[in-house]
Amino acid sequence: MNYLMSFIFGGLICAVGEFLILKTALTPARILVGYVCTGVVLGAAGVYGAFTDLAHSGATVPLTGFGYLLAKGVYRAVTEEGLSGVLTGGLKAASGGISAAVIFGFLAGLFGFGYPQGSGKKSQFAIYKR
Amino acid sequence: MLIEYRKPIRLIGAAAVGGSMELSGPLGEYLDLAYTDDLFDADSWESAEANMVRYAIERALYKLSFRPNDVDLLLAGDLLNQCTASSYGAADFGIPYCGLYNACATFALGCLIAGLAIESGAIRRAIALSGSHFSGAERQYRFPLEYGCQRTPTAQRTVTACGCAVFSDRDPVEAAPIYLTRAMPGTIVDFGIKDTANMGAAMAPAAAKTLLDYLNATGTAPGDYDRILTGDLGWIGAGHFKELCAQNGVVLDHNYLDCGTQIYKKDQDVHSGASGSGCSAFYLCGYLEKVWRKTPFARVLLIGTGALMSPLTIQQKQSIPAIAHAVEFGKEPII
Amino acid sequence: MNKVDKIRSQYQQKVKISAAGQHIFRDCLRAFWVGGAICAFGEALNAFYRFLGADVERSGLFTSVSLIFLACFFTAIGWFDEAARYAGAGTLVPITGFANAIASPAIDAKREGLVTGMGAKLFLVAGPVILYGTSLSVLYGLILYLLRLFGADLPEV
Repeated sequence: MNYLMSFIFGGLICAVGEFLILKTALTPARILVGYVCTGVVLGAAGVYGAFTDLAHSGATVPLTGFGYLLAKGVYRAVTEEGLSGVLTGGLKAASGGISAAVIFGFLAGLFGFGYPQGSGKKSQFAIYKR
Repeated sequence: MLIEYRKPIRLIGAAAVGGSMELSGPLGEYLDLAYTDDLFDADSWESAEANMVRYAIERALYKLSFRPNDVDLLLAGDLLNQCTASSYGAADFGIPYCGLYNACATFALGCLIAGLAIESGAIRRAIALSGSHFSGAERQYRFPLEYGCQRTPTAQRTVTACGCAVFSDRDPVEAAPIYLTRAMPGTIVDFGIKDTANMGAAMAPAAAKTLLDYLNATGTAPGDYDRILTGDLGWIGAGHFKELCAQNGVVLDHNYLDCGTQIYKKDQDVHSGASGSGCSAFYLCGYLEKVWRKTPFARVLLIGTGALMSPLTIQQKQSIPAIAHAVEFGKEPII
Repeated sequence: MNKVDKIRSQYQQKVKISAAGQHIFRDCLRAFWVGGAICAFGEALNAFYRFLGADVERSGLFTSVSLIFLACFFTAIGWFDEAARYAGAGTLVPITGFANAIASPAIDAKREGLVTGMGAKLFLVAGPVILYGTSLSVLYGLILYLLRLFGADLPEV
């Protein structure tokens, strides 16, 4: 059941993103920013927590879940430590994901090589004619 | 401003170099040199583009049995910032060099200026060259190559190709000569299109204006030409172009072709077709030159189209200004 | 409005209409099933980590990290962009899109050096995400803190 809910709600969130890309002038980068901000706002409004109980990974895996994580971290930190929590809470909660993305991205940059889109394997030979 | 060349300026030889996608396209067999690896023996996309320019000049000179000092002027351009691909690629030859930039209209502009230079008598032979590389252009104008994003149906794929044409008015006349007869530099036209994924639509008004002006100035009709070619409007841009021409009383028939629709097959996932400054250069130097030598055309009009924006002006929400230059080739000179 | 402006705006309208997405339903369906599949896979990973004995928070973190790793890996071997061309927002909106946004400029800018190239370009697309996400969360924290000073409260997250 959890899998079905994750599939349906996660898929719906993605489909909405696709619809926005196609129907409005939003570029993918703006979609990413918009989704994270939406997650923070919905989290702050107390709505997203209930949604995660319903949709499970369908709510936490999309980037709105990342925004929700930020809001949740801030809420907890402000409750526990007060004013300093305003600054530390968000990134502390999201630190695992951000560090992982930076480290794996860096490793990918070190060891990856970009193939041109749509072309085949990296082989070097030329075809001369005439 | 119609230019009529009074000297018998001919396109005496040409060479086209392309990458793997172009090789597997419908015109792949017309490439003089094709690489299955888009890196062209280099280690970065920018050097790859420079190498492509180098190989194109080499092949063109080799086919004509020329040495670099037989050519007096090299007019070259590409899409990279500061025309680096052309400059780095042309560095080894020692040919007097002019870097040009008119985006995808660079090749037509190069032909136009090569004609003027030879007409003046100061230059014996001139090369017009232009190239573009998909990966280099993608890095500069859009996203990193590996970035996962979809293209809209209006988007075009930058051609990985380079075309090099040698013009002269003195060598022995070949079997089916291609004379450079007339040309018309275009004006900048801006119809307020801001979508970089729809460059064909941004360039179509410029192409239409140049075509209408050209037909007016020469007193000809589209039917007088064997082929009317536009540079890289793509399927969608070509549709807009035809419509704009029809609105102004010029109906384009089956003798109209867009180079951007010819280079790839539709199933190569290129959406609206090909674009880039290598597009018209490849079509002309690769395909048309070879076909012409077998079955000469009487008159061919090439309208190179270019979108003159930069990534910064687009981020600043400015619209895309476009330009189109017309160059006419014929089997006889106008004396 | 003079005549030239009128022609221009007519043309812009026409271009806008002809450029409107032709395959909206098809593309949304693709985004739906791929995005849904990634989320369901995330749920499976989550269950797996729970099975291994991680608590709710940790298993969530491990799930994100695993998905990020896979996205970076497939970006590095050049499969991610191929998949994204099919799926669109289906791979963009899950955390995989964020990972790809970091890995792809890193791979791309390698030739420009490790510091000024890869280091600087790493956050090309992901930078704004972190910037606005963090800023908004700090704003939220500030509002929460001030409201509590005056005895009010916001719903629990």
